[in-house]
Amino acid sequence: MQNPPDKDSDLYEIYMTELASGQNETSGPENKTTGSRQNSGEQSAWGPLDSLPGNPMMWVLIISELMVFGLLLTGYSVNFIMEPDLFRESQAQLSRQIGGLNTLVLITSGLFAALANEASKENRLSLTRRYLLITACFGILFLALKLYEYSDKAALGISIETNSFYTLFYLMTGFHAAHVIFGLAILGLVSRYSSRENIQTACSFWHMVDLIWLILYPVLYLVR
Amino acid sequence: MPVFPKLSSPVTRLFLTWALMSGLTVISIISGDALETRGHTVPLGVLSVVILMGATLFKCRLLLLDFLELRGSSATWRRGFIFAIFLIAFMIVGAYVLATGF
Repeated sequence: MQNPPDKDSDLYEIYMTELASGQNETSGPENKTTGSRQNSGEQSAWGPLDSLPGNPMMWVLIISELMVFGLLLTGYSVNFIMEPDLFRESQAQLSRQIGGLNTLVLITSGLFAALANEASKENRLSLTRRYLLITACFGILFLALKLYEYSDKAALGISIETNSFYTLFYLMTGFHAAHVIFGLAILGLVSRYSSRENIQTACSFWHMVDLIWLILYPVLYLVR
Repeated sequence: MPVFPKLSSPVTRLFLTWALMSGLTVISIISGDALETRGHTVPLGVLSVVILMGATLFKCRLLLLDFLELRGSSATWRRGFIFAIFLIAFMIVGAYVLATGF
């Protein structure tokens, strides 16, 4: 039998992935596509979370983030009911076109993250890394547009303390932008340590960031 | 090696999902009057808000099923996540109705 490659080399990860997929062939093809642990017949360690793709801890984080942003949006809704005119006037100072452009940028980055995930299923490491790089580039473009928007507001003397609309606006978009920065760091990390599960987990995080922006954009920029 | 792999079924579905989500974003931009044909502060009206949040809900559903791969997960998780997004969309429409009336 051939000796495994050195642990520090990229070939080691490919070797381990091939070894794992060889073992999984006996347990059915569905495990290859979803990457779920429950289907493989292994003992369940996470209960219902085992049927979700990627690392279960990432799904705990995704659910927590949805709850946090859900609560922030509840706070926004309550304030909107109390001061609809103030919210309309404040929202009118935002650039709805930049918000829309940023939505398209994040959706496109999400496409490349999903393509990276697909390529990693076929162990195409170089292609996976290329897609992750494109994903990150779109993430940086999103942040650049956000920075432009923030500086534009700062030039008008608008800050987090201006009124309740801007407090919630900066809180939600700032918290989201922090997740984009963290997501970029994770994408960089899994480009280096590119096991199948790492890539799937990083892509899940990136899609979660994307999902939250899909909700924030219409609420903060358009509904008035 | 080409940047875009052979358009096998999963990849084609990802591109279709992306195209649909982009199209729905354009619908949101138009429905939300982001190009401001009616003025900066003119209320959108309930119908536009419902279209806007409906498009958002559908975009989120596509992202959850195809990008986050919940299509291959259990039906309970799929329904749970989509219901959570529906609740948020419903809350936004409800708040709009309470704030501005029909």
